[in-house]
Amino acid sequence: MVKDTGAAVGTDNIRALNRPLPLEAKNDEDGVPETLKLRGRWLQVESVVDRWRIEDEWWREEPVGRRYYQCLVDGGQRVTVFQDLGTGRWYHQRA
Amino acid sequence: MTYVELHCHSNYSFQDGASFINELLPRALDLGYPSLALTDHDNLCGAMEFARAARSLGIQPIIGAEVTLKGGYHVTLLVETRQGYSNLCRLLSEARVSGDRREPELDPPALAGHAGGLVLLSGCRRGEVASLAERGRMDEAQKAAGRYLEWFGPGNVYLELQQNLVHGDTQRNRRLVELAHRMGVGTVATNNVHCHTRERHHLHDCLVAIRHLKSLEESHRERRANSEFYLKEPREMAELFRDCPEAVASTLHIAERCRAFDLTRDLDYRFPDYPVADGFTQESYLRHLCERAAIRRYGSVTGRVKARLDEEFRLVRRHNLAGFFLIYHDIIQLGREVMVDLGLADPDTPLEENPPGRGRGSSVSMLVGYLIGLSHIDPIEFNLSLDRFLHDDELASVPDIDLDFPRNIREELIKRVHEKYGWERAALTGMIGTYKLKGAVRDLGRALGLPPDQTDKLAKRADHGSASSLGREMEALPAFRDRVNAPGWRDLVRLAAELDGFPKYLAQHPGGMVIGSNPLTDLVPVQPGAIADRYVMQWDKDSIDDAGFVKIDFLALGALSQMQEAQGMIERRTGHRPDLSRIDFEDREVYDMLCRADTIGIFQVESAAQMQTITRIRPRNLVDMAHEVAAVRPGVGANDGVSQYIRRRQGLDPVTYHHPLERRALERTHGIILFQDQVNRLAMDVAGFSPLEADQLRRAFGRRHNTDLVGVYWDRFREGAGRRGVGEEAAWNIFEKFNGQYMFPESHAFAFGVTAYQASWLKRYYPLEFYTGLFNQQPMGFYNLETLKEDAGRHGTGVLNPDINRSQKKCVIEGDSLRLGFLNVASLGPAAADAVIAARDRDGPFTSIAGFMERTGLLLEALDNLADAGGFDSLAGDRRAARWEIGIRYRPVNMQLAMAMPVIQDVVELPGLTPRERMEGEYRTLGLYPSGHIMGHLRSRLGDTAAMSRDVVDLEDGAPVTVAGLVVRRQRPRGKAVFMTLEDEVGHIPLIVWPKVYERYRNIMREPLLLVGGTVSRREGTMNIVVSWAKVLADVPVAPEARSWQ
Amino acid sequence: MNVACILIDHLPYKLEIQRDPGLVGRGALIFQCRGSMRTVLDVPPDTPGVTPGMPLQEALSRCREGVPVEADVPHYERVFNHILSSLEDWSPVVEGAGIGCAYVGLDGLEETYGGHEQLISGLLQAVPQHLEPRLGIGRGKFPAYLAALSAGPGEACGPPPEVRQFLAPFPVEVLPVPWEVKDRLRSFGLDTLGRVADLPLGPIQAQFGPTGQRLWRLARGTDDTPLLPRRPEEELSASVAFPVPTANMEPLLMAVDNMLAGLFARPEMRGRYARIALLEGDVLHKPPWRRRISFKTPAGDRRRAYLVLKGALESAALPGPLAEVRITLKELIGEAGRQESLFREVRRRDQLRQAMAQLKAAQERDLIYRVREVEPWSRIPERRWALITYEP
Repeated sequence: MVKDTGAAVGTDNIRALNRPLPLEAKNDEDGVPETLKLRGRWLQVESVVDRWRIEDEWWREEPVGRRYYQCLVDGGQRVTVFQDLGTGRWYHQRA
Repeated sequence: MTYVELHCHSNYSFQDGASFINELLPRALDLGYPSLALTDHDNLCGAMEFARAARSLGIQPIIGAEVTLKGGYHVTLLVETRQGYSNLCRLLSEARVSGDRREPELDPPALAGHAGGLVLLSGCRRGEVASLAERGRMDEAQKAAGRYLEWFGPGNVYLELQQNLVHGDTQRNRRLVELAHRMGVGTVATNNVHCHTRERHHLHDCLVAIRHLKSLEESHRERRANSEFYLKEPREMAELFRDCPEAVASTLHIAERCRAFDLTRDLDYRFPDYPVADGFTQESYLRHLCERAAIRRYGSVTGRVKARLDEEFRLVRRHNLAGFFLIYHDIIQLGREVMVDLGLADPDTPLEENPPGRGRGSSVSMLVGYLIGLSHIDPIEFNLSLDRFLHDDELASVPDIDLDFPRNIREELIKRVHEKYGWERAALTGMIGTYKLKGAVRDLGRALGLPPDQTDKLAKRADHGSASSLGREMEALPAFRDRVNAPGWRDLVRLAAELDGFPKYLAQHPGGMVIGSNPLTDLVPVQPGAIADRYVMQWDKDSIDDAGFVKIDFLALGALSQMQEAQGMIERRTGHRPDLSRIDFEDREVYDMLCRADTIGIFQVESAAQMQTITRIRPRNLVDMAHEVAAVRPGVGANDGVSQYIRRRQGLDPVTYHHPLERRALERTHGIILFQDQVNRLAMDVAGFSPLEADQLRRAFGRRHNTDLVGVYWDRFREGAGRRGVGEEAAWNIFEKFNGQYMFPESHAFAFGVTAYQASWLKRYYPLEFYTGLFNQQPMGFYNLETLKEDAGRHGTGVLNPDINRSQKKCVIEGDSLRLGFLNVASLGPAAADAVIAARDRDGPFTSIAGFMERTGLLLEALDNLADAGGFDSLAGDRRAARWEIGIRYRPVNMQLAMAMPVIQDVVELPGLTPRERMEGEYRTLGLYPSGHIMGHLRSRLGDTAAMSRDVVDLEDGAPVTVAGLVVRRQRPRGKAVFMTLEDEVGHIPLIVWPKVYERYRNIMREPLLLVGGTVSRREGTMNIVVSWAKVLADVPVAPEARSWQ
Repeated sequence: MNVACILIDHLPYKLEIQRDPGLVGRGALIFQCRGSMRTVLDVPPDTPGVTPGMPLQEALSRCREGVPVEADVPHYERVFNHILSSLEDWSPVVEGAGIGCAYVGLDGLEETYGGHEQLISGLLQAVPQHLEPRLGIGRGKFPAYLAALSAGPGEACGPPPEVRQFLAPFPVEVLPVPWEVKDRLRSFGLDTLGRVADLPLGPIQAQFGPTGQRLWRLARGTDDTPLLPRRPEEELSASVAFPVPTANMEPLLMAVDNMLAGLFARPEMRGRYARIALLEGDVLHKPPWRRRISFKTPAGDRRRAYLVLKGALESAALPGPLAEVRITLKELIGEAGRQESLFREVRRRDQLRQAMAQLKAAQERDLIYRVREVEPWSRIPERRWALITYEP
């Protein structure tokens, strides 16, 4: 038999690391980013070094669908961004 | 054209491919692919279907496989030449014969010996080269690629590049391109296709989870990263590989190399020659066998016999069938040996007088068939014409050999054929187990993480098998109504429709075997079956037909077992064994019985639907019997063919055609398609199809997800018909008559018609043996024992309870009744039955319960059941007292307390058994109530509210009526009205329940005992009650369940 | 021995409809899982053909419109424990005999509470009235139970003046013996307690062995099995919520490890051992998940407890993605058998804990986290690592 001792303390939370951060971006008609706003500054995408795509958890309320681009900006800095396939919003994330 | 897909999985990759071949090919056609490869995992199950379908669409099929090597590495092999094809078949067979038959892993050095005629692509991410490259271990990657190069030779190895936008693809491809340059080998782009459109990737994700017995949630690592693994536009592929155009160009180059091999043409299967004695040819030997049998049968080779044989042998020569009939003969001989070994035949009786089985094909009407023991009817005596089954026209393919055997003979025969020819030359036909609604709902439910008991419940509730109706089903169920759009359930409804019909596993066909003169492993991969020492081909019967293999089907037919047993009993009782091949096949009394729908227990004509038609078709000869048997098939019913046929036959409707060219095909069936051969004939006569094309057209209708495929055939049909002067409208009307539902071939219907007639003859003249055989061969047919018992009673055959001193293992004849056997008693197995009989044979009849217990050592449950079944009635008048005595005497095994010790002090007076309790005890232990009918007990509750079945017969059309009874049949053909049959203490009452009423009373309709109200409907000689309401009559937990729901 | 039986029939059902009034009239079949078996725990009153203990499949075939509802046994137990506690305010001898049935020893209590009436109404009022308790009194548990069955909702019945006469009409189904025995009784036409009681003991014993003697005595109203009062219990629990519900083992194990660390660091656990760990989880769109794990030897430290739970969990299948998990350590015992010496490391950890406790108190929130691998193989980057409260 369970005795309700009321001994439980408040629920702990696990916090995710490397959460995607929203970002402003402009893209061409194929969806490839052309300029990104990083730390308040618009940067030109010089080239896209790699691209990939993930689609997952389509059966949940919030499916995951992302188009990632690893971009070269501003003379050599590599930035990984993705566009959410559901909302169209852009995010910055370390891959 | 810029690109050809060389790495493509269909759903024959079993849980790793989410599209049918019928979906991939039309999609490839739309995208403008000139060629497409099929590379399923470690099998060629879909190769023939793919090759046929691709050719019919004008696409070049490239045959290949993705082969799993030791360590789980993959390579892609493509067939360039006929030799390469043999090599691939042998490699795939080898992997399964020497390794795990379900999860094969080929030893890589085996590739070396079988590389000729194959092109090797280095494989997907799971290829050895690619996975090493991915990890940056380039030296090892080079070594692995070097081995392939050594085995397959320069020019035959390509490094496979895949760009599915998975993280890491870009880098791996870059490394592979560098490696290729360094080694001087080519690269080739592929897309590792697993479905025909992007939208299918949800289903593919589910399949991956199902394969790993996990839910979607748990299978993140196993699932693919995204939805890019679909058949892409060539332009899109070129764009993805724009940095490496040579990899794209290679696809065209390889496709060109593979053009020379055509699976649909180059197989060169040969039927084995039958070894004949010196001085004989195949044909003369067959003739010799026939003449010897003719002398036994007819006394001499009379003029009629000779003329008939001459005519048949002309056709045998024309179609080159002598060897074919000799192999038939050979197998019949083997079957005969089995019969003798099982004590079922006297070695001195000529084979044809008591043949082991019977053919279903053209042999039915052939004298040759009769004389070599294949058919059970004398075609001379009954003047059977030959031309219907074997004619001068070109044969589409060698006819299949379908042989029906009594159940016990068949098992043993398969073993002996395997032994005689060896597994490389005789293998069983494969059978592709497919997803039906229930399995689809259950597996997808697990993948989606839905509670299994609820998905089970849903699967069971979905009445008629089509996944697409699942959403509707859920709407109709209160427990599920609010979930149609709930998370998980919503996906289940959508995906179950997609998964319906998907291949699930390769199993063995119940009895189909192929025999070849050269090793079958050069023609198709062969793998060990689930049963030891059986080998199964990776092709199902359709592919085997397409390949032109001669398939021998050994089928078990309960009706033959029943008739064989009945003949034996007749011989024992009367001293004379009826020769069923020479009974009167136009006996009025037999046909009168059939026309009254007095058909319960008779093979093929006992279902409610058959009963409805047989009173209207009114068969009077064997051709009519064939029509009767064939008419009640889904393919005939699909376009209302049954009622049209009957109306035309009765002269109520005129016989009309949409074009005179239909006449030859349809004339003898009043312009209605009854047989599947008529579809072929129509396609040939109306649209000028070749026999082969016509056969493909017919089968295209039977395939799943075939809309696009049928569309292609319609275009051809219309064009062909146009060339013959048939207008588009008429052509469309004719085309509309085709459907994918099952129909009998004509010869098959005829053979079954003969068997049905013979069974009817036994029922008419030897009911005692007919029912005893029927009881002993259960389960078979449509009815449960209770219904059969009632029918037996109506034909003067009583059924007696089992008796410890009189019963045998199975039912036996006792006077003019049938005595139930020990095996009819629940929880009495063969061992217990043997123990009882052995004890009785050894020391005489049982005289007390104590003695019975002591001498037989039966377990308590069996003893109790035997008491409830009435087995001790002759010793103890009261069953309850018998059980009490058993209880106080019984000691569990190994407790040898004195059984016979006096127990009088522990005997008590117990309340008497009511008739109802007695009945429940019998239903529980026997499944039937020998001395009465459950309705007899319930009648008193009804007063005169419900009419009895015999009173209903006299009511007029439209009369309101209330009836009650036990449901013995429920049938719902194709989701239309539900047909049910109620049984009461004197007979049967047929019911029709229209869908609206059915929906309303659906839960009540599933109960075993019903009270229903409605009106009498009389149409064209049939009588039904159209139900308007229903109530549960009584809750009797042990009432027997109706047998089938279709 | 005078016993009162307090019977709350269909307690699980009553609690489920309290939680979800939409279930009323829909034929809820409350079931629980035992291994792969699913059996019916409770059904609405007057559900024909379905009895508790029946396999769910069979129940569904008999009650085709039934809605299966997975039992939330911890909830029922909590509620019922609460009721038992209230009853204990009235009598020192209270036995819980499964959810919804309690026996209360009455001997010597009437005087204490100023008479029979007061005692009875007090006991009835110890149960929330909407649960409609019935109360039966008899000499022994079995007669009291049948008296309770005969009482109306919220009412009391008994003790019966003629117990054998009172019991006679009850069907043999009420006997606490295996169903096979009841089945056999019925097959002999012995379908009521009266019919059983009318037979002499000897034949019944010959037919049914020792069970026969027991059921015969019960049928005649004799039940001298003693009351088994419950023992108070102590337990500790902790819980963790996931950022995204997960069905993978790695994050679950990580959370378990962290919770155990927290629990074993609590002052109440100092020097003590747990015999049982109860794991419970809230599952997305599903009834809660629950697993009870016994430690073969009581666990007194986080590492050992973790290893046992890990072993047990790795062989378990999760019903779906977990949003939150709880661990309850139960059957806590004192410094049993295993005295561990204070190693240096332990001392160091204690110091660290104290330091952290001070820091937490000062900041009023957890400040110290550490990074742990969660699903390192995930394609979704933010799922791979997590920050979790630092438990040294």
